Amino acid sequence: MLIRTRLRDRDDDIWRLWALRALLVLGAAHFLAGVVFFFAYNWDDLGPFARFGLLQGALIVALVAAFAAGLHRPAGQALLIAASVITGVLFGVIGQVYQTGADAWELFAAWTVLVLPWLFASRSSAHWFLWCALALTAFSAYGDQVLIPMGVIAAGDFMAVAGALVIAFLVLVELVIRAGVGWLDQRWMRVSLALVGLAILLIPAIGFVLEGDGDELGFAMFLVAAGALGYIYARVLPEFAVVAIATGFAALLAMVAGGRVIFEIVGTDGEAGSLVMGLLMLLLWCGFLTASTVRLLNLFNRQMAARGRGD
Amino acid sequence: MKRFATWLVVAGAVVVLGTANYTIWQRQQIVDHGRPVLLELRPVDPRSLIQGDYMALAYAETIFPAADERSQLPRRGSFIVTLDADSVATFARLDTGGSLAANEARIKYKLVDQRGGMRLGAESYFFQEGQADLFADAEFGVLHVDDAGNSVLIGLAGENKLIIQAPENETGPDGARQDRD
Repeated sequence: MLIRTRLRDRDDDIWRLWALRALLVLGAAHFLAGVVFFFAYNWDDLGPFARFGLLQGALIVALVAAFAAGLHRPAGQALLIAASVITGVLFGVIGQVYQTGADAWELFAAWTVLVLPWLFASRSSAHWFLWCALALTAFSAYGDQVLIPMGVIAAGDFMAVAGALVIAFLVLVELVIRAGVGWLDQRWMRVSLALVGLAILLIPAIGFVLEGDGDELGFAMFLVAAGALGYIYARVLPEFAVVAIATGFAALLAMVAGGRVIFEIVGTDGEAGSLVMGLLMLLLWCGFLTASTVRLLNLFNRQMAARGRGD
Repeated sequence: MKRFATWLVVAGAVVVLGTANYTIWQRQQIVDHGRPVLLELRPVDPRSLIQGDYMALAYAETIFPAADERSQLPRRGSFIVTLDADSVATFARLDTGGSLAANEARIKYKLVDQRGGMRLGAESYFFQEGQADLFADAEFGVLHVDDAGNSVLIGLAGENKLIIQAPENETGPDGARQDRD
């Protein structure tokens, strides 16, 4: 009812302006889509230098447009992010035209380093998040292509290091925010970084619980990180989502551990009776853990709310 | 602060475009002036690895240093190959920095695992979608190498040692593929 009244109250001028803006956005989107599809369709027929020129032209257009829009305003920031993405495409196309022995990690590493100036210029949390994903991809590729095959580090330990680096980036972000850089203070960013970091650590941690050896580092890192993040975001910098992620992942790990213990007791000799028995016990254990996690999170939530009110 | 940001954006553009164009120039030099070297493809798994629009390349043992020698080498380096009249390469010796004979070329290698697995240049060849059949008969990888041993993969060659070209009639005037039969 309220909305309907408001709509009726608008005069013709507002509607005219609204229509003009809507058509402008629609037109701009169609134009851009047309440009993108034109080049995508004719890509195979373009020579290598046309491709290089096109991408470099797009890069320059994005940067000039970013200046025009204002570097620190949303449109300018989006255009600088676009420039960062085009940079990667450009180097990808160079690597495709000139097929050398360069590894994928070299492309991502160069990309990660080359866009740094725009990162500092744009002052955008989304840009930094993208950069973190880029740096993680470069590091993972380096591990997959060099460190692990050359026997420098075991795969599980490498995952532990990768996860720890994401958590370290989160810590750095928090410290920079505390130092007064307000634009970095984004809820989605802190939650996403915690989620990605803990999820990466969870993989070797589960490996350790299942196999019992080899992934000690990842297991230890996961426990430390989940505990520390859970504590910090419950007590120091209240953010319930991170507390929930840390608790949920820990419960997941406990489920896997319980599963291993149960099947070691009942055996995995393939007898139907022991299999059903094991599955039933596992079901009970998972149910118990789920219920406990929910109760625990309710408790945390109430405590955090109480502290937030200053009780 | 605003001026600093402006400066950063411009500096970033110079660095990115400079690096990109220098890389393009450097590699185009190898393509234009590099010496052609044909590396025999190992007839085993690589040809079954054709998937999507690229083909994994593995080269014949005759191109590489002996297996037991490889694991002793530094991770990145170069060695010397002898070229026959058709520019087909066979391993000659490790690179000790001396000058090359007329029928020799230097090639950079990279160790990729602990067992002496070695890569020379590109590990895969990209081609247009739908041309897999064309390249299934490839016998050689064709590289252009410069004096330092940097290489760019130019294409694949068949038994006749000529680079396999996609026939023009494979694609119609509008770029759409025609039916082959």
